[in-house]
Amino acid sequence: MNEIEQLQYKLKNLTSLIDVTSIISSTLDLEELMNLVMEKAQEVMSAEASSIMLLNEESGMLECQIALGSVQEKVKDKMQLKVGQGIAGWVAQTGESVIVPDVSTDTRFFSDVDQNTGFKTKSILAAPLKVKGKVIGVAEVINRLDSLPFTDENLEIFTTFCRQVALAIENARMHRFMLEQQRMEQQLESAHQIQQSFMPQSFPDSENDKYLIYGTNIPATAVGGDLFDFVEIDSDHLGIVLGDVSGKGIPAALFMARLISDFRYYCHIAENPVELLNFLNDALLKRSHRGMFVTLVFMILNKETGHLIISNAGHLPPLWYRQRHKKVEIVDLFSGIPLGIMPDVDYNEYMIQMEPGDALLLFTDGVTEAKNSKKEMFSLNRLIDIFKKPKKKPQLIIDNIVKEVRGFQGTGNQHDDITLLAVRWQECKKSKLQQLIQSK
Amino acid sequence: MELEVIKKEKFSILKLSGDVDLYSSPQVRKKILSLITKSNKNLLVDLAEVTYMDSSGVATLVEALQLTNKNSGTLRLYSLRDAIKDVFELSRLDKVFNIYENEEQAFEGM
Repeated sequence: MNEIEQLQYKLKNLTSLIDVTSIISSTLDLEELMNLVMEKAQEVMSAEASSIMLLNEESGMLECQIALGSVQEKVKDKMQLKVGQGIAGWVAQTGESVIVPDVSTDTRFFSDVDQNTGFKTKSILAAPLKVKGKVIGVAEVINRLDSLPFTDENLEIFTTFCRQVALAIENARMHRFMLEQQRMEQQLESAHQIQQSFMPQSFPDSENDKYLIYGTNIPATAVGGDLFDFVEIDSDHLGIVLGDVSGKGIPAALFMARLISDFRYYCHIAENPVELLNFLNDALLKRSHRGMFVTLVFMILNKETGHLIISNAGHLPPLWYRQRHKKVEIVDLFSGIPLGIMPDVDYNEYMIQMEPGDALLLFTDGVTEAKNSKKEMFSLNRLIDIFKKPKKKPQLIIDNIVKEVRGFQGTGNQHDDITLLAVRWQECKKSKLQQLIQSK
Repeated sequence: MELEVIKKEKFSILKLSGDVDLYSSPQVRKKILSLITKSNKNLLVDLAEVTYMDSSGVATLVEALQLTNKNSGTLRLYSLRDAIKDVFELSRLDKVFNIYENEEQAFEGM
């Protein structure tokens, strides 16, 4: 080549590189991108065919993703090579580019592809696709149209092409990964909203202002396995439940969803809390999966008298603030084993009489086992100390506990779901008639 | 978490150490399922070196218990540290599992 020809050649190469760069920035569709770039490469090298093989990290095989030329249908998505097998395999193994002027004299050449397709490979130019020094695939152009072997100039421009392509493939993969992650996040966000909708959005009203009730659930991940719920059993009785499914995340959340629906159904059939726990235990045992179980407290509040019947299936004991003594009692004398472990369990009932100013607190271990940066636990004692100074409204009691737990955790992550529920029996209010008599 | 298996003639011993939680319990489960077979249906689990167990870890042992019960075998847990004992006692699972103070007591009658 004389000087002018060399300059023209370099200009042509530069133009084709600019073309490749604009192709790469035009699309994030990986297949479209690889097709366009290889078309360009084939055109610049004046080659008969070309291919891109990408390394499947799981299988360790080079898989043909793009094939251009007369036999592309027979090769694309069908041809696979081991690393080290054939010219492409050699390039993947060594990470080096290669010009093979005549494949018939090169022992590395793998002739099975030609035999299967009827294509006649004469010469090859192959280069690795590398990202941060790691081979992710191999690109090849095959047979120059003028039947001459590929030149060092061809190799130089092809290697530059391949560097661009490798980066573009990596970008497209990252983009796909991010889209997939976004999709998962959106699905988890929907799952979170659906799960929250299973739990009460409003709290039962006390028609006579005798009691107030409030609960909250804060899952550690988007979805969790804690639950609380209320069911109006009849005009005088309110069923209240709080529980914790073993494990975390999606399996626990699905288990919890089914449990709430079972709870609502059996609440209207069971005669008493013990019978309800037996119904739930039988239902869970029938679909026992990987040892999953539930700890749960169920209670029935008499809305007129403040009488509470409580049954506990292996759950942390309720705390009872007694206004009369200004003390917190741990109500833990009667618990049975968690639900879903074995049949025919003897559950018990315990009765307490709420007095004006009393409050009852149910909670899950996400509260007492919340950890700070020193790995210390929040502990039952801390919870009792906070609950000892009860606020008048259950919402304030719970908001205050959540605030204290958050403060204790500091910047540490929440490891477990936090669920709290409080019932407060109100101070006696004088009837309007009594107020009228008193004022006179 | 680490696990070690010792096979005896009539039973296997699974020694667990570290945290048995959401992340490590699938590995424990896999090991337990491979150990409880029709020909070797008795399993002893040494918890002496277990420092923490969450409900996923407990569920794995519950599954082991259900499996040994189904095969008319025996599952025994022994050498629980106080923190692990609390996990079982708080949820009343000490009533469900056969729990022994030490290896000697756990081996008795096996």
